[in-house]
Amino acid sequence: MTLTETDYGLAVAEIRNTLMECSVEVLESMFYCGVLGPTEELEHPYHRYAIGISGTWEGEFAMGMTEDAAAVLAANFAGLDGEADADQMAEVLSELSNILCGATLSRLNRNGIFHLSSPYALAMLPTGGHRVAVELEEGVLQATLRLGPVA
Amino acid sequence: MSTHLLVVDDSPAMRKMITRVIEMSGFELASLAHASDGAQALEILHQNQVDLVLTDINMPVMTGEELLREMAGNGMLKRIPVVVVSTDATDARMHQMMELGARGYVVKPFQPASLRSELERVMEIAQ
Repeated sequence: MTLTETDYGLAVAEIRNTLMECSVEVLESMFYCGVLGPTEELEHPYHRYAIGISGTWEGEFAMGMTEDAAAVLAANFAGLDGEADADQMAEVLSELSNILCGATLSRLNRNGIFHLSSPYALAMLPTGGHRVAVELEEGVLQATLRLGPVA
Repeated sequence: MSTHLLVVDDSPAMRKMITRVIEMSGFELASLAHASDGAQALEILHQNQVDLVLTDINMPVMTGEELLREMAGNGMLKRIPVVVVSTDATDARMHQMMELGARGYVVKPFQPASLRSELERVMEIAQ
């Protein structure tokens, strides 16, 4: 049987609003990045990471972003004056996906117990799930949450 | 009083970010050590003076939860205050970590000022 968000007692709007709220808060407070507001979804984001979710709920969180957004976020988080190298970029984007996923799940279900996998790179973003895209001063970040067993 | 601080997190980026935030905040540090998991943290704790531990929960090799259990079972280490820094803000997890002996809990995302004030609050009580 495939579980859906409805089985978890969640409304679609609640998931999207929480994803958006967490994205803005995380980007502004820990990545020192100005958020301009919601925007169109990305078709082919340059960077793509995901985290597996198990525990009270199961599913997957995925994040994609444009190259310019990743460069700014990595430099800001790492406190660099110049550009982040590939390793620094991967470290920071992995941590960003971890923070976004954990913060979103905690807000959607304060009584849940969740186990998150280590972040992993994706060849392409999954279809389906609930997604939001935010426009930054430079670039775009997109976050997707899929609940229910992931193939 | 200056603090000998140990930061435990498997993410190198997060360790660096926390270090930078603490250094810039004006929190008085006597020394700063890093560990990438609970096992490495225990080695440092046994060999060095540490006044305060800042730890993530979800780490490979030994989690923050396991680190707290190990510290609670050791007469010397259980006196060292531990502050958990985690994205997990669920009631169950926060309750569990405080039950295991954590003295403070900072939820990511955090503002730099809130991290500093939590560290100062915990150190004030510990003294």
